[in-house]
Amino acid sequence: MLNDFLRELFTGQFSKALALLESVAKETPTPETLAMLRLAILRPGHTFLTYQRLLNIWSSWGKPALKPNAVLKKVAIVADFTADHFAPMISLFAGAQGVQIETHLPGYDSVEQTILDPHSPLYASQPDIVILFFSERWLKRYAGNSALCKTEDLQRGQESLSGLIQALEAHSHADILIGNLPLSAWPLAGGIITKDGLAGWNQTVSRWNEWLTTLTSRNLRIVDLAGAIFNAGGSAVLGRTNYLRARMAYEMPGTLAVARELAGGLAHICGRTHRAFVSDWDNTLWGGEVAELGSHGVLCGQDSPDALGYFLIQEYIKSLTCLGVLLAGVSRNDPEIQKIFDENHDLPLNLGDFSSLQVSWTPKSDAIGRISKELGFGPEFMVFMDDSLYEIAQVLSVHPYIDVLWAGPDPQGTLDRIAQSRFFNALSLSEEDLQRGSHAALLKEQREFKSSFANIEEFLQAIQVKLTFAPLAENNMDRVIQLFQKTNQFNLTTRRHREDDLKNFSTQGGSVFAISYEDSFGSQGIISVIALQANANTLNIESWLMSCRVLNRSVEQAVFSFIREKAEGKPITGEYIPTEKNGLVRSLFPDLGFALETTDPGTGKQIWQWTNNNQEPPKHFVEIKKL
Amino acid sequence: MTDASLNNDALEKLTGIFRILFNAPDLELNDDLTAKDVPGWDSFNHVNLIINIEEEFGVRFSNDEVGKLQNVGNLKSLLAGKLTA
Repeated sequence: MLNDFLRELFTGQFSKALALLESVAKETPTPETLAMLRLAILRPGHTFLTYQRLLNIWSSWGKPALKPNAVLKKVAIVADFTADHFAPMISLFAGAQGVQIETHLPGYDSVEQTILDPHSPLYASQPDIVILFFSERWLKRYAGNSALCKTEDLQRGQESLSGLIQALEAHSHADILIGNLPLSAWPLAGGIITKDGLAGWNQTVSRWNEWLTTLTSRNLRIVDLAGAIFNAGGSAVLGRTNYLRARMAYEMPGTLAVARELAGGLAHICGRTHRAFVSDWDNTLWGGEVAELGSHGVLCGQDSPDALGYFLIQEYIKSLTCLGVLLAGVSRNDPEIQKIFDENHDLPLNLGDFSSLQVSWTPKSDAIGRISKELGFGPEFMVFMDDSLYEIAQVLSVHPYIDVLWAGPDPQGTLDRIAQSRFFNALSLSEEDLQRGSHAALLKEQREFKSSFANIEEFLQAIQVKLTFAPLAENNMDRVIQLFQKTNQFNLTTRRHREDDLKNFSTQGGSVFAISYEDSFGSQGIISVIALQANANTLNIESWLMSCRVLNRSVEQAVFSFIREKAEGKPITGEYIPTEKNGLVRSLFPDLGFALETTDPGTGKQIWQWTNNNQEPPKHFVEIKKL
Repeated sequence: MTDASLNNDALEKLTGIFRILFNAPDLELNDDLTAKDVPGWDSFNHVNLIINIEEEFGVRFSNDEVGKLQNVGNLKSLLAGKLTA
């Protein structure tokens, strides 16, 4: 069924793909049918009624999460126009990106009343995120209806919005998403004029939008609705008939484009945007097969329309890297074909642009698994593109949460599909986004470096790993708490301690240490936390968690040597509480030389003990520094 | 007004639109059906319904025509007229 669905979705008729989904709507959803629904929702360009059908299917299943670890958010949608139909569509599009929302919609055209009144239902709803977007009529209240707008009138509009933002920040802790303004459905004459403190309407909107981007607040993000409207058809999708009939700021295609853009904004705020673009090579990044045609025989360059199309695909993909998007190459081929990047200088991409390379004859689903391991996040944060529907289906059958794009039938179709998907749309760049690329580059450098050593021990000695153990303090508290909240895999007990818990733990004689990592490639910051409780006869490891990105570097053995030192010869006890996600550390204690004491038959919780019976401490290659 | 000229395919499509928008899989479009008979058919969803009918059938109703609609029978006749025009 997945194969038939993908064929109809990408190369056949969307209505048939939809009918296939509707045929299973009365059955209990499976990972496969949920993936089908998600992929259908993520395809842009269909009618409102089509997405309403998808919403009905999702609702009939009880709106299950469409991505793993979906986040739940309360979202208030505030607009100066009729925006009732935005709530279901934003909810649908956000759901497909792993953000489940409950919406609150204040009454029509009540922006000021709602935001300025601290007792309004908006604040009573305790939103996590407030979406605030306007029609041009709102700005015209300040700027007037003349073809030329006075600078001071535009400033009055700016002051009004600043006041609304201040009120939102004063009365709520919500993140704020503000939409910028498209131009007019009925363009005014003289739009570009600027003279003596007056500006035409196009110029005024442009100044307004530029001013929005200068607003700085921890909680505030601007969403490019003007861009979304331009991409969806420009003034034709702004409210015309709908505005006259129901004061709706957009026609239906405009509504869908704006809802999709706002949902993307929610995904961005919630950290649910895609982080890696995983692409097949032959007939995806260039036309033809390297093994058949040679490095210079494939299509990519300036020589023909299709060659130019492939050139632009590569250029587009490469452009994503500066936004922190990692590229991975997957090709079922002889590794020898990688030489195309050295030999063919017409290709915009080079081998160094790929943070992970998987060129082998193994199934692509295996390659995706390896990429996930190398990059340090799950397939749900990746987009996989291939010209073969078989390969797409094979990958989805193993990784149902990966999002996919079909490359074809020609390079223009592929380029359109990549651009319209909006998978990588970013509202802002965080330090993490900026560092993701350099982190991946480091990993790659390490992999390459590693290959020149005879064994892992030699390599670890060469990279000079240093761990710094710092007691819990104000300057490391935020990161320590973040690790307690986020770490799932290398986490022996998965206790989600917060600041108060850790302070109580410390006052009751416990010790918490933040462990930072550094090697010859640079620092990785705090990567591990341990919480130790000294009792009369033992030292107990209450919590031990670590970022997976420093695995296999003898870090855990070095941390254990620090714990042994703290035990001062006393036996050390540790707990392992199994969860769905921490199978990675199932064998940590036995590997370190602990013996199993007890296992709770109900929860599976294990108590382990290490005693210093002259046993050889585990070997590590780490220099330890204590603060 | 009569619905004589609204063929079966068009009637099925129109019924489908109602069923999807009001999430009522068993809804039947009797001529005397009105907004008060269908949960969720409020003034906003009435506009939404008309917009979606226009979009799906590729027709355009004047604001005056929309304002005169009293029941589903009126709507069927209006749509039939647009489709045969």
